[in-house]
Amino acid sequence: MRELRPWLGLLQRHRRQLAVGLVLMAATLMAGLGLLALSGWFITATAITALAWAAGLNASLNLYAPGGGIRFFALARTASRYFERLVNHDVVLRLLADIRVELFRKLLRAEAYSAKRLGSAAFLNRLVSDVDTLDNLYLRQIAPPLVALAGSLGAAGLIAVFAPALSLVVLAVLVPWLGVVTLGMAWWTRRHGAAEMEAAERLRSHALTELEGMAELSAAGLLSRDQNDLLGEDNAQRYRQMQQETSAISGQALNTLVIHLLVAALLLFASQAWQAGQISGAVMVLIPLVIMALSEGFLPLPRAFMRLGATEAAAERLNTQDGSQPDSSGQPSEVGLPENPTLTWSHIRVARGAPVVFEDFSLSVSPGERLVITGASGSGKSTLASLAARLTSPDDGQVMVNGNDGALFSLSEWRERISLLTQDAHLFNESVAANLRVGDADASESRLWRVLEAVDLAPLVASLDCGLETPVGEGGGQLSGGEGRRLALARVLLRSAPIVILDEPFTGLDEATAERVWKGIQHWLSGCSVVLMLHDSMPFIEADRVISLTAGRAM
Amino acid sequence: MVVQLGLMAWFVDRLIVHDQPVTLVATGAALALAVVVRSIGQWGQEMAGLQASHRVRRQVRRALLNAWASAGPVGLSSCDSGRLSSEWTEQVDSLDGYYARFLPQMILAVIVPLIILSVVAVQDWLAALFLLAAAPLIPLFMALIGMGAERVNQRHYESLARLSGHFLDRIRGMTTLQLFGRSVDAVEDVAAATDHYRRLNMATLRVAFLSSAVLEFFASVAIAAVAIYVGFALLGMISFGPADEMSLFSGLFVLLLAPEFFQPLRLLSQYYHDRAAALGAAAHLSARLVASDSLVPQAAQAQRQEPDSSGIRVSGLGVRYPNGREVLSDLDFELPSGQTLVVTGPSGCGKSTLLAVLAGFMAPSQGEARIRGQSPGSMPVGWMGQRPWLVPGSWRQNLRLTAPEASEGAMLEAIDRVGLRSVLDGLPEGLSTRIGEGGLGLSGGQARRLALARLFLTSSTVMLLDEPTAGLDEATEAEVIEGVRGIIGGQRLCVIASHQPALRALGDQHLALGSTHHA
Repeated sequence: MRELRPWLGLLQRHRRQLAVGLVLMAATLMAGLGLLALSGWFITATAITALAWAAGLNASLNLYAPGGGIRFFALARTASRYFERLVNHDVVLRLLADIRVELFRKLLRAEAYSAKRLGSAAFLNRLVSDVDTLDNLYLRQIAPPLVALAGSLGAAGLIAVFAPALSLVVLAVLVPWLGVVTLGMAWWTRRHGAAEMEAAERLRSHALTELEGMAELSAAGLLSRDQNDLLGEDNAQRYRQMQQETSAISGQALNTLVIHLLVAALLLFASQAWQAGQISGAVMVLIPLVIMALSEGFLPLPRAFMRLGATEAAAERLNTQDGSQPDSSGQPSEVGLPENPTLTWSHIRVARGAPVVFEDFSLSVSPGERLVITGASGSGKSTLASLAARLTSPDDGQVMVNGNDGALFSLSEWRERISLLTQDAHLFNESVAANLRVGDADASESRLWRVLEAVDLAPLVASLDCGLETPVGEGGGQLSGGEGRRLALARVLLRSAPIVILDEPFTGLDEATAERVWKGIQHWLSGCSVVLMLHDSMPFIEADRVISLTAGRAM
Repeated sequence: MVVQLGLMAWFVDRLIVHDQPVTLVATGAALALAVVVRSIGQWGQEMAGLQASHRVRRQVRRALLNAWASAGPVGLSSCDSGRLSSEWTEQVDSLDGYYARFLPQMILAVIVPLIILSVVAVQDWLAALFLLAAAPLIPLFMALIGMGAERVNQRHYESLARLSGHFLDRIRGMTTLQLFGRSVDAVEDVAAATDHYRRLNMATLRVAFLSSAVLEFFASVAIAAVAIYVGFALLGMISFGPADEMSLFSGLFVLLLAPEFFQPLRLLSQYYHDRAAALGAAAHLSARLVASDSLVPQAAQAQRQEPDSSGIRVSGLGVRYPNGREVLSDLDFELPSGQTLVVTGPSGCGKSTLLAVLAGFMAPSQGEARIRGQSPGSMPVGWMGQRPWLVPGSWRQNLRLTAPEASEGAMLEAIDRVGLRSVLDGLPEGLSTRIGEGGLGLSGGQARRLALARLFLTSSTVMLLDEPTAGLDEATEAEVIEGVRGIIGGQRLCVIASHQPALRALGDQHLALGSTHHA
């Protein structure tokens, strides 16, 4: 239950609406209870009165108050249920939107690559389905037992007016039973619930893996085999679901059994009380009917609490996101970054979590310089690049601008000045234009065309049916590797930062295209300091300086 | 249930009206028995629904997998894999409510009210008329409301799938968003997407709730009317119809039965959004099943033949994408067994498309290709795409993805061949070392070489490599080329798309594709 605490805290923000919802829920149950109880009482009372008349006795019965009461309860029940549902669902959905945005914000603050480390398949599950699972928490697992408890107490109170002894019987049965169908049910299904959720995540990640490796698998003729594995896992998973469902169904059947046995017992007890002259005949009918109406409040409980384990597991996984490192350098600096910055890696040491170890590494790029850093894959080029963009921080040493430690500046300010094309730059599953505008949100169409011209993509985009609005597919899948790379490059250029770091910009391009692109983008790079990370220097690139990097050491 | 209520009414009637002592034990036992039977019946009904839902979901999942397989990698490349996987998991699960609850309840909603109605009619036909009058209005209203709900629900499911694709896309591009300082916009984006989802959801729910409120209203009014009617009849204030004969037994019995008359219908309306959810999902799923039907590549329909020892023959091959872009036309070549073909050309000239056709991922729009005398796709081939496919898991798991039976020795040999031996020797956990999503923990070149090693492990004698050395430095490239050299020759056929001069030297034949197909 501890896992749920942060989320219960979130509920407080919408306290008033939740209270209204709860009151409406209780009102609905009470109206139903009142309707059946009053009707039963009314009919029996009329029958007794009729008998009295038949016996020539002078009995009188006020017909209009109960009749009006019955009509009132009937309407009240309908209205309160409708508004209760609207109020509750709206507030819960609002709450869930809050949760999603909050989570996403947290993830963005987390150190670079930690998001990747968690694995996107697991992640997708976390965001969409865990948050939806938390939907259960209030609407299914907090409010209904409270309402059932309130209903039980209300029913017991009503009965206590006529027969205090019987109301004790009602409490003695209903309160423990409420514990059984809620906490007992949750305890019984918890183990399976957590296992089921884990398996569901594995299943989804397997499906995602298969989709991503579709080409390799189908080429190797292994697709059907993998699909059989997937179906096997799915069968096992559904078997687990069935076990859970069976528990819930049995719980519901037991629920019916207990409540209606109580109703029967109350009728018998009440009849004895009536025979003993303690209560009137009409009240004798009223007592069991109250409990019968109450059964509605108990009905949804077993199934809701079957899911408590899953809700807890979801909350727990969402909680682990809370552990993310906060953005410690969010404040804008007083100094302000200069327009023509000199970028310096100063006495850098990187030892943990990187494929390459740097020890006391220093390098400087002056304004307007063209610096080429060459090196084999794994020589540390990408590490230098992510240090410069402050995606990662060094274990020791500093990344500086004009002699000022980078940590003094806010990240957004920093990244306005330093633009980086990473090796795995992501293309969003949106249009060509939308992808470009990630680099410059306000870019005009003609500016987009100019930058596409620079990277030699303009003829291709022009030939597409929808032009700039053509979707690029998931991860740019509708484009060839080289085309996607050039689109990502164009996006970096639109940023117009004074320092541009390009990590392997020509991947997937033949030499002739690479040369055309390099020539084409010169205009966009004029006046900028450019750091090119390449595995080999290319003959057409005129660099001011070429540095060869081997295992974190400059040659 | 009817029996239980009947017994209760009878019991009350006996006591009050006839003032007869009844044996408590006998009545109690009969009541208990009725309750037990009722519970068991409820249990059995729900279990049967559960079983049905279980079977249906299994079948739908299987059909979806078939659809993926027949669409193939090229057909699916325009679909978001997050969305596809959510279709396969959540959307199929949302069929559950329909089969497990809605369908059985629909049958009950017809049968149970009829039984109750006839029981009530026997007691008092006028009360039965009250119930009957309320009942037919219910399906009418439900249908009216249901039509709107269905449309809304379909939209709701589309937006749910788009939302999950949107999330995955944003998460994958998180580093990019951070670099461009667009994180704040992305948060707003996510907020807007979620809010859109909330509003759609509320629209669905509002309609679903309205339908149950209508029902609730009629049920309440009918119960109230029955109660008041019975009361007045008992007092003898209503003098027509069967009201005169009303006894406490029949009156109470009718009153107790009245809510039960509406109960199955009310449950049905509670399950109504199960139905709407299932229909929304079903429309989506069947659209997927139909869409993939139209993309079935030629190979899937081709007849199976025994492979012969011939090589690759391509004649008059042309490919045009659905968006109107023509990438290949009138291509002819023949590659004898044991040879290697290197395809060169500027980016976008159709190198990858040619390989996709040879692998059987897409059907050519003109001409044909034959590999070992067969249509592409009817025999296994080794494939490596432009982006290496690596899954989160150990090196061993990644190597066994397409060669499930590979031995440790074979895996070590393959790793040796692609020049990763020195890297592996430096890992304390060896082949059990874990790799993160997208090859995290490996450099770009290492990821590529690991995928190559996997290719070497497969038993296929036909290999298709799309830019195998893209992004590798000269030294590593040379190692990889050495590895490729080690497995070509003999009876093996190899087609490599590349613009690297160093790889070109491996080819027995060369094919240069032009760049004239852009326009």
